[in-house]
Amino acid sequence: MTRPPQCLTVLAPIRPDKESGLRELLRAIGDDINGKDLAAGRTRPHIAFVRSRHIHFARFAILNDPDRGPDRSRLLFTSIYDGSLEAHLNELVSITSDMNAIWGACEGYTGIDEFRSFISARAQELAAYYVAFRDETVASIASAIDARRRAHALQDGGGARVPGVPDKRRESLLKRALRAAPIVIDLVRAVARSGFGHVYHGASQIVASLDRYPVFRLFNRITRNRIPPLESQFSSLVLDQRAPFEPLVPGDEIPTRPAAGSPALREDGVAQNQLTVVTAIDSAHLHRVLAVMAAIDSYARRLAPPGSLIGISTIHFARWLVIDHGRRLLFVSDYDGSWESYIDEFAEMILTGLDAIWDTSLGMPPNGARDLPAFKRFLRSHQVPSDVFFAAYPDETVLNVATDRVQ
Amino acid sequence: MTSSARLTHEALRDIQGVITSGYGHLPQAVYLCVTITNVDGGRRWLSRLADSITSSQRHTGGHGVSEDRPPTAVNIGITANGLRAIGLPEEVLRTFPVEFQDGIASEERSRILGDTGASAPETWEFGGPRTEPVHAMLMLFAADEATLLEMCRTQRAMLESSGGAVELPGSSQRGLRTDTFAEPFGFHDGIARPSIAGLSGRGVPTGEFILGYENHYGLIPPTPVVPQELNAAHTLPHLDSPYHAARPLGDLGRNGSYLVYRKLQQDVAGFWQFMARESTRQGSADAARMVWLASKCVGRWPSGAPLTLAPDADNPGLAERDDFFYEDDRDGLRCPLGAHIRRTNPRDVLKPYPRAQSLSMTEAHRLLRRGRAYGAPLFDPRELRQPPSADLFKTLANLQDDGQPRGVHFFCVNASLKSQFEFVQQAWCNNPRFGGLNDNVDPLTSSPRPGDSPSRMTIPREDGALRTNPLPQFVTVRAGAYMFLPSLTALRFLCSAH
Repeated sequence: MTRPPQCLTVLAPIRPDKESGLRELLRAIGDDINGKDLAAGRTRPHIAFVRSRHIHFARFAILNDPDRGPDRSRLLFTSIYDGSLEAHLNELVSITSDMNAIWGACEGYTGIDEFRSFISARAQELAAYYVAFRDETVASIASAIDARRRAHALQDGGGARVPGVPDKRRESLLKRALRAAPIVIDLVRAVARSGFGHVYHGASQIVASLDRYPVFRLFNRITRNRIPPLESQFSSLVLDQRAPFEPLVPGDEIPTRPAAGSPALREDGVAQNQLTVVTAIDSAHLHRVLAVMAAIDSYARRLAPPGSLIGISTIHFARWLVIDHGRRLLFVSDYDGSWESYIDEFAEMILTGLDAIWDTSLGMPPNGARDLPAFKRFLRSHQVPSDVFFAAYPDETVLNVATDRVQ
Repeated sequence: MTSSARLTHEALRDIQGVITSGYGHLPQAVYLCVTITNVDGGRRWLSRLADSITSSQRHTGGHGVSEDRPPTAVNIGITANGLRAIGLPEEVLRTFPVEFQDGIASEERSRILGDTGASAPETWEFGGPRTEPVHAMLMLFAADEATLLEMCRTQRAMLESSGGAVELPGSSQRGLRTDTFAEPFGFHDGIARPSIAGLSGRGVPTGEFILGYENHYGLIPPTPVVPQELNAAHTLPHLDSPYHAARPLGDLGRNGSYLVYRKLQQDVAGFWQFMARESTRQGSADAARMVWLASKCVGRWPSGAPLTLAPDADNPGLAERDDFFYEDDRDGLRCPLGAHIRRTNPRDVLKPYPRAQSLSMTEAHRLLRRGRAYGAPLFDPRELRQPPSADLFKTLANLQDDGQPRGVHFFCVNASLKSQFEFVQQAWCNNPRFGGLNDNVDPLTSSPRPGDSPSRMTIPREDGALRTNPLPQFVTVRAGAYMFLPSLTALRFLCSAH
């Protein structure tokens, strides 16, 4: 079995007074990816992501850093790559024209020679990680796209027909069983770490909205587990729809100082999209969060079939990280389509799963994700726009990858 | 209140008629755009108008027989600028959804809707940034032309005497429902009509279309509100939300809704010329092939018969059928995934979701269409409903544009502009990768974003998918507006001083 794509997530405090310069620089790099002003970009520091061969997705965003001080901020770099971390960092160095311009704005960066240890010291541990296709590399996806394009070009030029859509390739039963086996170990570990009560409660909360799967339906019938009733039929959406996003609950700091999104990264005109959300965890419920994360992680690694996370089939990669010593939850995903349709899909497929993930965060609406307008505002108000977003196969949806890889 | 609870008589008397009825029995329509020039005059005009607005009231005839067909109808939609122009305080306006406040011609909405290039608001006949603002739109419906013209005269006299509201010059529009029900390309239009649970006892939850009722999610949709001090006369009902109990609020939205207007001009000659070229390219230059190809783009045959039920040829016996599913046509061998009707109403197969979720997501994104055609037809649509002949091929292939504008006045009613109309437009129609496609946007309503690959209609067949040459733009947006459809109660509140 090939090693699935790996995820690197780094949080590096930015030196005081370097934030605005760094943001400006990153915006220019983000624009270059979108081909806006490649020519002008050559003279400025830039990252030639188009030359990379092993990076699926990468993004830079600037998060605030309330634990260090109200005016402090930190750089989030997160990437999905094939191969070893060492090779990934080497590739990153080789495509970055001026490492010092970017990383030198961060505290503790002393030069390329120490880059590896600089990154390792600031890399964050994943709490849950989902990969749509564990056996696909940038190269294999690119060659499948290429094959399809050649077939289309041949046909559009008057040649033969494109072959019909065959069934999705299925993992062999044995392979799936082997992948699923360690789930018992995961369970024991999660119970040992967070306690049985938290694991049971978190898992059954997610399972409440998964009645479409016979195995979960059986569990729901036996335990009389169900979606909790609405507290009120009215939306808790704040009435002033133009009001700036402000903390709804004390302690729920908004993760970034308001900064307009980069025009090149508009999320309503692209095939693939980026979502980065930072929420403050209610300290009383840290163990619940960890238990839920363990359940999602175990499911995603051991059971999720290719291209689908409990029926959600627009996610290429998603990861959750519990950062800042358990004070905050960071969610990063690379997904398809518009923001609205993505959240609608989540709400349709795992409504109570959203509650399980975020109802331990401050500011979650009282009715949870069932109050969809209020939930969308909750996510929006905790979302950090990326300044740089690179996608290796930006026109390819998860469904496209699934179709292409069998032809 | 459950989602299938019937609307009460009081509610029906309060809800504008255009929300609950397409007035199919009133084929003649006129749309008048109004600009309000001063607050007092504007309110004067509205308060006189309020008494003549058609509600959804069922006119009960003798013997308890329900007769719900008004002989004529007058309805009104008001834009965000219109609410401003009649002096609605900014603090109230800010409780309306942001997309409504922005208006359909704003940059962000245009990006979402794909209104760029030839469809950009800068080029619009009205409703765009280069023309006088549209503050309100009067919709007048009648059974015959004489009655309609009389209604226009009455409305124009009311505007004149108001001293504060004028008709936007050159903006009046005629809408027609012909006896063939054909839109200008020649296809039977307006067949799929979601039924409102509150009217028929089953169908789509009332709150998907009318504010103040339970929607698909079991919630009462967010509603615009008025602080109690502005509602001293208690014209508006009290908002019961426990989340906002600290401050008494009047519910401005209840029994109201939102209306989208888009004037869609259709290039009929271009449409059929493309079908002729494409049929020739595919080696069968005949009418049957052209009609087949066009029907694959629409998803229904010219008579209205759905391809899913009539896969091989038109069947007028199935013309009005809307009770079908895609279960046995998952891969689009009958009705292609990219076809117009499959995008706007994916029914039970919204790839890649299972049936229950597909049905549920479809239900959460339905629209009540209230559109009408305009312009003289370029050819007689009845010809399309005859068995295809050599004559028909000649007629269609030789169609030349006569320079006369024609198309449809697209209207739709929904409780959320963003999550219903805009969602369907953005996530389904304008999406080249809808349902796992690669480069195929809605062949009728959409064109690819600047920089994207050209759109090709992809038609799955047993021996592989057929891909057409790049589709030209057949439909251009010529005007548009996002409007609030106030309840009669809300209308009376809006025209009173507050």
